[in-house]
Amino acid sequence: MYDLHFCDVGTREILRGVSMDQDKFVATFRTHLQDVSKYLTRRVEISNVEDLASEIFEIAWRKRESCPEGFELAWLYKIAGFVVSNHRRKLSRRVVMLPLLDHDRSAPSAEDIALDGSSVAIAFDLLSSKDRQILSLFVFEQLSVKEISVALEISENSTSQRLKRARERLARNLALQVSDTHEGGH
Amino acid sequence: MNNKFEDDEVLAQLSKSARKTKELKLDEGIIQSAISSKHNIGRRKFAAPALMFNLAGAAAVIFGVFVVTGPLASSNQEVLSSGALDQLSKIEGSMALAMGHVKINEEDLLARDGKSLAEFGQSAVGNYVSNGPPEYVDEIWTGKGGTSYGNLWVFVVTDAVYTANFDHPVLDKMLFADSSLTTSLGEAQVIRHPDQIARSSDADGIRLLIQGDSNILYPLVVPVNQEQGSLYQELRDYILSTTFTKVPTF
Repeated sequence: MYDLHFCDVGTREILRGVSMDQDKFVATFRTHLQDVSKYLTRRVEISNVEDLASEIFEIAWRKRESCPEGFELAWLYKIAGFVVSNHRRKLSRRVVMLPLLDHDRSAPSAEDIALDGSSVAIAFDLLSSKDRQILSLFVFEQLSVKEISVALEISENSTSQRLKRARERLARNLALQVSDTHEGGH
Repeated sequence: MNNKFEDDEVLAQLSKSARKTKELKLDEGIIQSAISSKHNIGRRKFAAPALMFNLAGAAAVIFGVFVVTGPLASSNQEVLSSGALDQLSKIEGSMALAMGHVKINEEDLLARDGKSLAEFGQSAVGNYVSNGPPEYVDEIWTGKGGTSYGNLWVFVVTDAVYTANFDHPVLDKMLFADSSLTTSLGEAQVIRHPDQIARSSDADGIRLLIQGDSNILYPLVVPVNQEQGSLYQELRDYILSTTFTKVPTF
């Protein structure tokens, strides 16, 4: 009766939150402090890292009941993505309204990641923020597909497809860069 | 070096190209401070004037503020009362509504009239969308609770598209944040949203689609209420005020 085949119920239905008291919270997230720092360093000015990290952990504490057990880091990245997005929006200092993929505002640029090798940097920057975001989570944050699905609140299937498409587009951009370089040389 | 990508030349190239970043050493005190903070992030966010509407041209077709003043619905739909919807899970009900497979009937909407924004949010969003506790949704709508991450945007449908040019307290109240409301409908739904909104109900009123960060669309209808000070009036006055620019789209 209901055509729900597009619907992505998501991982939240499957992953159950874990009850955390103060000690467990500290013990759980202490190990991820540097991961969060790295994540932020790749996306914001170093001077903002500490403040944003504080905000991330404040939110994490308040929302700890919804933290899926076994996916704590991915869940932190989910929060971090929104915090970075909001941070960037504030920085933009313009009257802003809803980028459709607001969450993707947290995607790093080639400059953020300090990519060297101009062809890779250009190829990466040519990608949409959505592609950069998912590739970054996979390559630099080294999350698994399952973890990315938690961080982005999409299904594993969608994650795999998005990842595959992003990788294909990156490959295409890289090939174009190589081609341009060769043509420029002649 | 990331051995994970040994078999993938492209990703390996990307991985190797990134210079090692020197991250800031974070102290465990950050976590301790977070625990002892007074949870004021949400309140600060709602009080901030930074959340504004600024939609432009074609972009508004994809995401924007839309207002529906008359039914644009197609006729071959199944009409379910809220009771019937309640038999579905909240997620299923929400999806069915957003996709236009079911509608809220006018009787149900009117039954909700006369409630505060918070109550309306609780009844409409709480019943059909959120799988969070109603009290929590209530807090989100009033801005007393909420979170500082995740943005849910409000879509209002009309016979034309209006863009909001600047901030307004009414819409501020509706720009709330809560990740617990996020359950994806899938990206494919987003591009069809004007039709979805139009089909979400036959009842007169202002129809809203609230969009989450993951392209999630939550349908909500503010029924007609001519009483002064009602949410309907407040919203309508705002929508039709000069703060909007009419953009002909459909």
